[in-house]
Amino acid sequence: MATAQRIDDNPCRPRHFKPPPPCAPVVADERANQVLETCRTRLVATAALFAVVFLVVVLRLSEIVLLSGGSAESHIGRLPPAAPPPPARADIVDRNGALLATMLPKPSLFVNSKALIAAGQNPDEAAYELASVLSDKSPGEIRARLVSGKSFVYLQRSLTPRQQYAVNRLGIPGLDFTPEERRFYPYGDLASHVVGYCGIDNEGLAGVERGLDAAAKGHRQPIELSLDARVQFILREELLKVIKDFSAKGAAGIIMDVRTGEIVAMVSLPDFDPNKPGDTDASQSPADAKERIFNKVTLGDYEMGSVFKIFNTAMALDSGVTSLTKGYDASHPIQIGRFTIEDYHGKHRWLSVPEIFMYSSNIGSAKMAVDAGADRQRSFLARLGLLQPVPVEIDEVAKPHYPAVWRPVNVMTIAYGHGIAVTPLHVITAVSAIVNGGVLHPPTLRKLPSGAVPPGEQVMSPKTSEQMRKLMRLVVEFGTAKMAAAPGYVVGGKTGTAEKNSGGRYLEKKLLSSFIGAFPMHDPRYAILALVDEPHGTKQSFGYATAGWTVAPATSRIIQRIAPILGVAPIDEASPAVTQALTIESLQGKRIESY
Amino acid sequence: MIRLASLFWLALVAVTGFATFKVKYAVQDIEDALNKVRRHTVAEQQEIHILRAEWTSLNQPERLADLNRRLLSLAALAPKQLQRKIADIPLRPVPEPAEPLIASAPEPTAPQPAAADVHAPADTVMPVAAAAALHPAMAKIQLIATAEAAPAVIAPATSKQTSGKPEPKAQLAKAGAARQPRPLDRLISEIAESR
Repeated sequence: MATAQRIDDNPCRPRHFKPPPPCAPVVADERANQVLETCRTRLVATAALFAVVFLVVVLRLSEIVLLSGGSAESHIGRLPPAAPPPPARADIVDRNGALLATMLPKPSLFVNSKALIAAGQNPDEAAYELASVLSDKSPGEIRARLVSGKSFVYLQRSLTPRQQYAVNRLGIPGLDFTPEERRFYPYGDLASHVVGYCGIDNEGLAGVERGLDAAAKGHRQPIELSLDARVQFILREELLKVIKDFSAKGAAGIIMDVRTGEIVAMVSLPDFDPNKPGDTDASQSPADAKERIFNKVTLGDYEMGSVFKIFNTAMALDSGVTSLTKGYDASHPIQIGRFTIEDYHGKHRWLSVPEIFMYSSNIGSAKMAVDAGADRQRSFLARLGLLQPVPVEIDEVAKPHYPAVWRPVNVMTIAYGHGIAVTPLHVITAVSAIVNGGVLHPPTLRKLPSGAVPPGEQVMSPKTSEQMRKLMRLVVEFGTAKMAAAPGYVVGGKTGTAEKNSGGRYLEKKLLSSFIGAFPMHDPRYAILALVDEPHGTKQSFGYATAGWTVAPATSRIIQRIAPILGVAPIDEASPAVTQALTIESLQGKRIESY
Repeated sequence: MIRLASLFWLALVAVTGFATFKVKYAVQDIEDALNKVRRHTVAEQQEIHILRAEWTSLNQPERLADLNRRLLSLAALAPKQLQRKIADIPLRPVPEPAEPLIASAPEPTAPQPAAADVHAPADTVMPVAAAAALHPAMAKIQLIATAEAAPAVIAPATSKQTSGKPEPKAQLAKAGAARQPRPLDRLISEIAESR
């Protein structure tokens, strides 16, 4: 009875479970009701709990399925990436996409000695085999590491891909690699001073590697330089030849696009291999590492000599103190203080402005500068950027040296390039502005989009620029730079042979011969500067070590080789298009003394 | 009735379960394949990168110059080998001023009718120049072939245009049949035809 009563009361009773027939009418007493109530409450509570849990599940499910941010995406995230991880440093390429610097996997080889011994490998055999792959280690040395009993011993750092392949092929157990990356410069010393080099932790230490370190670090996008590796090679090769022919100490050269300021080639010799910058390879040149790493183009402050007559003449013409028809008496040397200003190729007569420029007369130039005055000279040089460091992408730039107080004697010597020291990059940047119509573009090592002309500053009138083009052409046609002529390419320029200043004294035997030019002169496209440090005269040059005999012929060869690469078409130099653009009316009909 | 419904649901559960697992395994297979492809891609890209570095280092200008010296001995390009524009390149040389039309008159393969004889030289200039522009190799052949003779050619070519007008048709036809086409002529007409 009691059992039946309990079953009947149970609300969870299955439907088919029939209660036994009641023996007596059920009396709904107070107690039974209470029990029933408790049961219901418990049931509701349990159901509510389940409902909440299910609701959570439903919400989470709908979040996953309907809304984004579900596990599906994170699942795809677990897949291996479709591209290799970004390199530690971006590649550096030239203007045509040739690799100048890249990261290469240079794994390091280590041995787990325990695993090697456990695998039953004969260490003598393994050491002998490994020694044939790892060039610079003896079998005994390798064997000692193989049987050291340690679980991690480096066998060799920075393996080449070929070595890694060979080690893998040996199939010796217990050997493994740690992945590492190293900077690699496929062209070696070709553009060492421009590209620079990196330290052991792949941090930029020189050149573009240092100057554009932020753009290189961790980026995939390669850095495009304005350099052209082919032009760079030709410039370097010809300069090396000059050094060899004239037993010179060094040389430097730059080629610049005068319309944009892009540096197409930049060489400083002697140079170094950025793959091993500290290495002194005595077989190539006796110069030490420090001297090789020194970038003459941007760090070398030189008194450039007669090359400065370009700036002096442009200044005098632009300020209107003289014109192509005027002239100065250059028959007697100028005596000022303890200085005597003389002419190297003296004509001892009155010279017109074109003649002063063509024959490179110091006396005439000095008088021209005095006519213009110190203020004009100084502000003109400042406008050309010759009194500040050059703004370029590399950090190794030198400050120009010039007198703090611009005295009359300084005015005279600066007229022909003494008493002021600037870098070759200063000179080519300023000359580019002089020949391109008077617009100064800051030099750049980064490639500009083709056809883009960067903003520039008009530093002189286009008329002065035109007159300077004529004068520079005259120097190559009849003056000191006849050997720089390259038939078909209408070269114009100016030579400079300066005596090097050492401790306040000029050394007669230590010359700095340079040529700065542009081509084609009727519509200049490229400027070129070549400089040779301490050349010595040879039999072929009749003992001369001056610019006309050393760098001028080299420039001619360089231009003839690079013009087809740079897309400069040859033109008939006697054609009206050229002669009309470059004839100086005041000289017409006059006999030009051949220098 | 209840039995049937239960059976239906049971079947549905079985089918759904089967389908789910089927899809799951299919997706897993695809994922495995994707993984494999991705790993391969990365490996290939890394290899391409290394090969590119090697290729560049093999292309060091210094090395190429050395190879050229030893194996090819090609000389540097001289300015006289360069013409300014494609239009400046004269056509093939015309032998005598007496029969300039004949030399440049197209062979039977060319679609030029004989009636247009007077303007024939002027007209043939265009397709040839265009063909040369389209075929750089062709242009180079032309360039080298004509560069040396360039100054000599321009004079007869211009005099021909003024003096060639009253040329009789009969002479053109006769001489045209007698002349054999030179290889360069045939090449040019072939290129013109292929367009």
